[in-house]
Amino acid sequence: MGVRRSPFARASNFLIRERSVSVLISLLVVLALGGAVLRVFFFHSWFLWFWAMTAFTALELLATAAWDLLEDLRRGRLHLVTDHPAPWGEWAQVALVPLLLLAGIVFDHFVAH
Amino acid sequence: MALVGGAGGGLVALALALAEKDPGSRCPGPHNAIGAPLNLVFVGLCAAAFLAGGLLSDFARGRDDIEDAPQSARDRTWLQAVLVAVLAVLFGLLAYETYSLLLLDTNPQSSLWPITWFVRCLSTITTLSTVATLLVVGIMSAFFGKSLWYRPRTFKPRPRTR
Repeated sequence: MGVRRSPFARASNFLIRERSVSVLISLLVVLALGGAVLRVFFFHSWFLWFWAMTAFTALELLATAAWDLLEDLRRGRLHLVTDHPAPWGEWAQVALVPLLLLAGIVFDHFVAH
Repeated sequence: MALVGGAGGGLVALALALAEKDPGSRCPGPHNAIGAPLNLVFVGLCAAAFLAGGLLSDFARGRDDIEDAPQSARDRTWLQAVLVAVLAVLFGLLAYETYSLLLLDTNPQSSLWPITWFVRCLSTITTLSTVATLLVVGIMSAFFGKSLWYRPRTFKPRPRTR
């Protein structure tokens, strides 16, 4: 009979094993916190905040890609984006981009403008 | 195709500028230059072209597991460098867009126009420019759908009929 581990230990092991997922979650947390700060202190209009968030997201992607480039150049192994197969189903991957596209259009059309 | 689309968009802008059809002088309300239902046509076309570009690329695709040739470390590094360069350009454009919108919010007379305002005005000058703009954004959206909409290719063996 195997030893039953706590959900926290299982989640922790999963995040250590799947570095790309950990990085994705970290980036989303930074995006959410940064977005809240930008909205409260800098951009009082949803429209301007929306564009600021697109630039912020691009900056996060740029930082991630630049880190991986540096790892490539120094022959390191700590890449933020790994080439492991995704730990979730195929349909989740297929649906992700169209759902984000739809969410962006709806937000831009009904909230930002 | 994307390069052709981008170049086409540049040529349309250049041709209109040479024909003294400066969009800035003919566009008193650039933010709302495209009204309904034309705005819905643009949004619908962009979304449809994005999805079509992604779906149609499936016909030209094979199997990840047998067709992806092993890459050398040098090739991977070059590819990563190109990705960094593209993302740097994207960040620069989005930062400019945000900055120019912020400037206009505080000073409506600002001469720094957001890129989207210029495109909105350009697309409403004449019927030809509207059609050309629709064509260009359709091509670009299809290219983005082909490149950015990731769908894993999994191999499902077909059952033999014999």
